[in-house]
Amino acid sequence: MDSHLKKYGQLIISLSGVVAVWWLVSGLGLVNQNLFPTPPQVLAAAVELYRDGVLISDLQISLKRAAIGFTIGATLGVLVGLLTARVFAVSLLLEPFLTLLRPIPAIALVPIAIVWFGIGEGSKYFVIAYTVFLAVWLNTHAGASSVASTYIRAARSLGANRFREFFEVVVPAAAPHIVVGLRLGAALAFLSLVAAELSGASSGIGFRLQDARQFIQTDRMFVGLIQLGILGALLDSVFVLISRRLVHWESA
Amino acid sequence: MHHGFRTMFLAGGIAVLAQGTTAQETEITFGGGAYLDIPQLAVAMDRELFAEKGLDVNVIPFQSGRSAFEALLGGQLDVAVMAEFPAVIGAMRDQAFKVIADLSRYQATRIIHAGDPEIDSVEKLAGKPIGVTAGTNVHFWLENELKAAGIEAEIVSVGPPDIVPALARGDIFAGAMFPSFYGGAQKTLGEAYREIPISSYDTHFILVATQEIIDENPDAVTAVLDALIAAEDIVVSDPAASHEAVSRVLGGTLDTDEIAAASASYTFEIGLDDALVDLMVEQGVWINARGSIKGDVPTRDSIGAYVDDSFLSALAPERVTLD
Amino acid sequence: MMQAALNLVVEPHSMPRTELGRIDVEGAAVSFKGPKGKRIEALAPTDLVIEPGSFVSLIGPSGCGKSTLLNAVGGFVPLSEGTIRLDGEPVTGINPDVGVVFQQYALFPWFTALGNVMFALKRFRLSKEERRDRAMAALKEVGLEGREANYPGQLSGGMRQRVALARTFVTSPKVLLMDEPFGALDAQTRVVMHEILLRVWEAHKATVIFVTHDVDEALILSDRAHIMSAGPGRIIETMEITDDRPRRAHQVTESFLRNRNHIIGLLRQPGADDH
Repeated sequence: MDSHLKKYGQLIISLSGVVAVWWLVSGLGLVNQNLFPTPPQVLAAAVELYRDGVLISDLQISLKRAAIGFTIGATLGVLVGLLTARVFAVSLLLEPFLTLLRPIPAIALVPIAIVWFGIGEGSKYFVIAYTVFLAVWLNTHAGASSVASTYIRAARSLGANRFREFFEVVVPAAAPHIVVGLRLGAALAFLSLVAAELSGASSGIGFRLQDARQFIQTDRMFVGLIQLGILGALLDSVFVLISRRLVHWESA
Repeated sequence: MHHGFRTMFLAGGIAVLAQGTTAQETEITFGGGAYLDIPQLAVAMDRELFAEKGLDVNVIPFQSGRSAFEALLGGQLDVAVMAEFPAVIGAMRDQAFKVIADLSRYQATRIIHAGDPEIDSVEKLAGKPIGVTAGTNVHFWLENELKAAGIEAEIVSVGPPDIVPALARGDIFAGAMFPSFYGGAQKTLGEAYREIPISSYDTHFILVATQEIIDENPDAVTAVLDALIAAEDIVVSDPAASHEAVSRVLGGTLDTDEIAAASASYTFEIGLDDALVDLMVEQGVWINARGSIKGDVPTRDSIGAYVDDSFLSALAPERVTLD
Repeated sequence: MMQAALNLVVEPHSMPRTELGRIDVEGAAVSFKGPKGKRIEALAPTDLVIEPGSFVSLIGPSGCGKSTLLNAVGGFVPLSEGTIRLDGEPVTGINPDVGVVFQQYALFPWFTALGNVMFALKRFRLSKEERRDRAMAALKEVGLEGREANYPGQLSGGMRQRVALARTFVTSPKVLLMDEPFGALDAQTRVVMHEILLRVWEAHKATVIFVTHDVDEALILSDRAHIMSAGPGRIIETMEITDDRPRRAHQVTESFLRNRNHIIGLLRQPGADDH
């Protein structure tokens, strides 16, 4: 309880410090207020967006896109990661290809996504799923290929067949890595969301950022950025909470 | 180490020498690009006309006029060229800049589709999904065209580079895009390419300057404009030389034939007239009505305050026809 | 210099083989490919017979091949020469009839104590209830009643090793291989573990091969100790330990001291200690 209090206290002090400096810099008129708005201006923009009804609807649509993209990417990432780590034929076939994909950022894939999946939701899911997939695959692969040999030996000497060895030993042994991958993937889902919403979108946080840029509305852009920051931080805390339950033995 | 030090010393010496020769010239950072749209700029660079007017101009090319304008407002540039639309937004957002002159007009605006050749007018697009980048000048004229034709169509917001792929895939029936994508559309759609010409709108390419340079060094602004007028004389009198200059400045990405063909769709004439201001006001009213920028509805006065004709009036009064 | 002795322990073949768990090591050798492609002989050709139900210790310094021999019996490392037979059948791989207690517990941290023990029972066609009952009984046998819902991370080192013991014994394996199982435990816990191990061993009558570098441990636990030496790994002497059970380290007998001094003397031989 005490550590919670300390954590929240720290958060509040840190945030108010940042806001204070921001206010000071923007309020002193050192920079063009149109380009660097003050906290009250940003708050007013947020209220205006809320009254227009787009603040909440943007949030909903963006969350939906991130969630669907994440689910697709994470599922594939875990499956393919386990296979490339434990099935030699699959690793032989896929690993070089996936290694080549790794350095390609999501934003570079947007044009391809449009060509393949059109300007509808499909291309957005694809871009997000792609980013999530790579992070989850990489971590799952690392986890599943570095399972301690004592676990495997123990499982085999206790008479576990290949099937049980995989599901009762390899998967749980890799679980801490998988969870790290999923956490990273969730953060990346939000990063690629902005890239995904650059095109063919008429709602969502990424679109709103783009639209605000179009009309030099930096206050609105700040609203979008803060939204992304809060969402990402909240999601990460939820993930930490879930992963503590899921791989409880890691922290013990 | 020793060698490196000597090289540094040498480089320093050359830098000092270079400084010496340009000490007399005023340094100007110019947001450029769009050489095809504004051959005056390409010719002025190619023929070193800026230097003749006592300027040391550093032209920084931008992908879009909008990003050049953002850099200008951020204090990175002194002057820039762009389409008129971002300037309307700048005026409505009380930014510190002025429109100095209209440089050229693009007159081959069109809607592109890959469907039935029978569809050759805006009326026949009723009910069809049309891709356009929301909140741009293209969106502005498309809505005007639809309204004038008395039809409704489904407007789909698509990013500028994605309209052509969306057309090719059939996600949208027709596309309204920036002219720079027309060539790509023609190539991608091939035989299926159809166009519906639009006459209600011409893109105006304009020269803008920061309030700071206008206040602190108006002579430099005059010199920039003077050099562009001098360049225009060559553009008009010797088109072939102009096309070669544009091709050189573009680094050979387009040959002179292609440039000549494309140039046919433009009028290159530096001026300032009511048509430009009226268009900007109309766009401002549209932006206001869309709710993109709230506040008072723009008027001739509010927009006109961002047009500074004094430089062009001083250099060539016959080019200015403002009420 | 010690001569590279091959200790052939000849057993009377007339003995009736009523019990299971006899191990015949016949000229078994293990070599690995070392760095720069050099072959390293981890275990020189060795002959050894281990009687069913006996408790045998392998003792020696690191690199003497004691773990290698154990792993060869368990089918974890392939032989480069010779054969090892378990009740007449050659060992070709990991065999669930051979139970193993590993040095680092090797409990699955994602299963509870009960889950770990039940894991071993899954290969049998048992109802879930029966599996549970048997696992609970095994945990009770090692004194972990009431700890079945704990995860390994919530148990002390000694308790973990007791879970490992229960997990191995619960299937009544013919042979039990233990590779320095108590090496990481403190002296007091070790004494408790010795008692538990002997109790369980007597109840289940498995053949035990116990690897250790602790002379006292070998003398307290085993019927017979094979003293090994490095370079290459081999058995240099076999000692019968005939002291009456229970034996206690704090109540040493004369023969215990004699054996102890003899083994320590052997291990101190130049060339026998590679450290």
